[in-house]
Amino acid sequence: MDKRFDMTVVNMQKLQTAAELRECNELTVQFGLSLSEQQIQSLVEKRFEALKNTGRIEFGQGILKKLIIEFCDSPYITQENYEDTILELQDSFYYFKNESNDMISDEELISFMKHHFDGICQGSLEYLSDMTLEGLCRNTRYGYETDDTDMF
Amino acid sequence: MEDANSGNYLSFISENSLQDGILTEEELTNIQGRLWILLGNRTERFTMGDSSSIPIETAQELLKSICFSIGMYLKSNDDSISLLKKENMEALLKLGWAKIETEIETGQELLRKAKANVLPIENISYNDTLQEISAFFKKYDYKFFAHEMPCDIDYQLCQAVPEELQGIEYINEYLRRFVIENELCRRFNTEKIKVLLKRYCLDYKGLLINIYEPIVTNAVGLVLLDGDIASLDITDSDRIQMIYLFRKWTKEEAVEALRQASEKLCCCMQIMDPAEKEYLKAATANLYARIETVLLTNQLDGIFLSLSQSEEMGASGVQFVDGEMMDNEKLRMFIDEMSNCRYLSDKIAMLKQQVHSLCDCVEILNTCFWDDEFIELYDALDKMELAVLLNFIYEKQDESPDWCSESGWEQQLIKYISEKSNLS
Repeated sequence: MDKRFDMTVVNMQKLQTAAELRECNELTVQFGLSLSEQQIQSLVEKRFEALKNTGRIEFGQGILKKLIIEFCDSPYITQENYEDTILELQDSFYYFKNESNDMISDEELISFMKHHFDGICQGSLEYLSDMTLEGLCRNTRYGYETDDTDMF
Repeated sequence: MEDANSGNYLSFISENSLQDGILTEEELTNIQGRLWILLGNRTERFTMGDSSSIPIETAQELLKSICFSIGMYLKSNDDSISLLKKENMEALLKLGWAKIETEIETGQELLRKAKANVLPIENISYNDTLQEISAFFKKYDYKFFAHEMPCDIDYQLCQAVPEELQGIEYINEYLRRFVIENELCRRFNTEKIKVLLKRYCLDYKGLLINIYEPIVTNAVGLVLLDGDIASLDITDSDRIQMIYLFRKWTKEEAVEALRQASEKLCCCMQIMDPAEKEYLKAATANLYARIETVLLTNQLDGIFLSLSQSEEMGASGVQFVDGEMMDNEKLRMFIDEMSNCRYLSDKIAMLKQQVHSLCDCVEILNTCFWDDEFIELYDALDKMELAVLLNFIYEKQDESPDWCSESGWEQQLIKYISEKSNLS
C-alpha cells in the first residue's frame, strides 16, 4: 500500500481518536478524571506506536475509548496516574491480544483486565501483566479453563 | 512490477494505468481509500466484531484476498479501469466472488476428470496430491483467503504451473496440466510404464518424480529412430544411433527434429486436442538442453531409458568389456592371412570368429579392408558391434579432432550409419 496514502489514513484515524477522547472527558469527569489536550495528543500518538510495536493494525475506533469507559470507575486510578495507567493498559492490551493468538475478544480481554486490576492486582499494572494476563493467555492458547477462584 | 497473469492483477493495472496516464494520482488515492474501507469491513466480518485490531500479517492476507477477488472479475472485463474508478468496491468484490465460484465449478469438473483418468501407478506424491486437491475444495475459504491454496501439492508436473498464479487459478491450471499428462500416459501400457519408471528411478513409488516426462522422452526418441513407440524401449544400440544423430545435427537442426518428432508423435498417438499438442511440444523442446549436456560424454542412458536393463545396473547404462588381445606375433600372422584371403565373406567370417578385442579389430580394419568391402562388413556386424565401433570413433575424435584411419573405415562407418538412418 502506498506510503503517502498510509499517512492520510493514519492522520484521519488520529483526528477521529482525539475527538473520541474529548468525548470521554464528559463521562470521566464525574470520577474526577479528565485528559488535557496535550495528554489526548500524547495518548493518540502512543496508540499508533503501540500498534506498530505489537505488529497490529486497527480499523475504525481504537481501543482507548473502550479502556477509558471500562476503567474510569476504578478506585486505583486517580487524576495523577490516569494518563500513564491508560497508556500502560493500552500497551498491555495489544501485547496480550497477540499473546492469546487473537482468541480473546476485545470486550472479554478488557473486562478480564478490569476485573483483575480492581481485584487481585489491587491496581498494580506489573502484577496484571506479569501474572494474570500471562496466565490467561497461556490458558487460552492451551485451551484450559481460567482459574478465577483467587480473584479477590 | 506485477505480471498481468499474477495474483495481484489489481496492483498491475493500477500501476500500468498510472504510468500510461489513464489514471491520475488523485484517482489512485481514491481507489486505495475505498480499498482501505473495504479492508476494514472485511476485517470486522473476519473477527465477527470481536476485535478492533488484527495482526498486520492477517490484514495483509485479507487485502491480498480482496485484490485477488476483484482482480479475477476485472481480468474478464475490458473497461477494468473505469470500473475501478466508478464501481463500489463491495460490489466489485462480490462480482469477483461470483467469478471465483464459476472457477471452483470448473475446478471440480477438472478434478472429476483427473480422478477418472488416474493412472494405476503407485506413486505416493501422485496419489496424495489428488486427494489433497479434493480436500482443497472443502477447505478453500474464498471469502477471506481467496488467494491461498489450503493443500499440499507434491506431485511435480513436467511443465510446472507459473508461480504467479494463486488460489483457484493455480489449482485449475495444475489440474488442466495433470489431465493432459494423464491423457498421454494412458495411451501406453501400464506395465511398460512401471518398468520404465523403475529404470528412471528405483524408488519411483516413494520419490517425487514426474510420470509423463520419461514416457514422452522415450516416445520422442523412438519417433526419431522410427522405432516402435508403444514399446517405450530404447536399447543400447538405439542410444548409440541417437548419439550419432545428435552429433550430426546442429542445435537448430536438433531442435527442429525434436519439434517434428513431437508432431509425429501426436499423429501416431492420435492426439487431437490443441492443448495436449502444445504441452507435448513444450515438453519436447525442453529435451534438447538435457541432451546437449550429456552429448559431450556420449552417455544418453540417463535420458533415453532402456526397459531391458538388468535391475542391478539400474540406469547406469551399458558396460563394454573388451575381450583378450592377440599377441603381436599372432596378430601379424592373422593380418597376413587376412590379406591373402581372396573372398570377402571369408575375411568377415575370420574377423567375427577370431578377433575378440576392440584394439585388434581396429588394427585389422585399418589394414585388411578397403573401399566397398566395408558395406558388406558392416552389414554383417550386429547393432551392438557397430555401436562399439562408433563410440571408439567419437572417443578418438574427442582426443584428436584430426584423427583419421589409413583405410578410412571410420568415415565409411559414419556414412553407412547415416544412410541407414536416412532410410529408416
